[in-house]
Amino acid sequence: MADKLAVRISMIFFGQLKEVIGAESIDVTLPLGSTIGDLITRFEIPLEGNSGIRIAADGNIGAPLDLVLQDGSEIAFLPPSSGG
Amino acid sequence: MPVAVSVTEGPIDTMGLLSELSKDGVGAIASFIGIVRPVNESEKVLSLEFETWDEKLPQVLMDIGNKALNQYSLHSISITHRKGTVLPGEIIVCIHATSAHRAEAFAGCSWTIDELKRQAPIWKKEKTQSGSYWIEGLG
Repeated sequence: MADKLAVRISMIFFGQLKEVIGAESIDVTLPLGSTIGDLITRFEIPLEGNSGIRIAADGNIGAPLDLVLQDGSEIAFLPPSSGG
Repeated sequence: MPVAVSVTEGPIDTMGLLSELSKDGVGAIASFIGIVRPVNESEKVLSLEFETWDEKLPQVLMDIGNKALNQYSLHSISITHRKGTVLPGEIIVCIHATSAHRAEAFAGCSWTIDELKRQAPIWKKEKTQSGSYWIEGLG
């Protein structure tokens, strides 16, 4: 019943963050109950200070760091926008 | 349709977009057209590369357009943005805002481009002779 003890999620990255991380997307399995904050720690995503990075969970921009990850979720990391 | 948004890899037809907006009850149209500067910080710009979150961008632009419509009593608004490679002199973004009077059209158009720069999941990389650089911020 290992699948009940873990969640598998996808991370996607854009812009300069994609180059910093070195990948467009990463699939990862984490213990049940893991949060977005755990992802950030594990992958050393540079969120500190005024990075301006926004996080989207399943398309919803502005997900909190303490959001518990759901199996099959897509977590997007968005560096500061620079359109226009 | 009071709010129209699009993202395109090809040239933006500003007048074509304008012609698609209803003019019923409209007394003013304010437009913002952003183009690629040929020189940025004393360096010749070869191109801008726009990366977009394709699955999300149209919805974000639609949300911005609807907010502008309600906050500034616009009759309609059109928002179009390029993706991919855009060359100096080419159009990056085009916004048309229509209203009964000019004040609402100006304010709504100005708010919309500011909000697009803050919210829209778009990232640009400037290519110059000395290299390529991600551009951050609201400039």
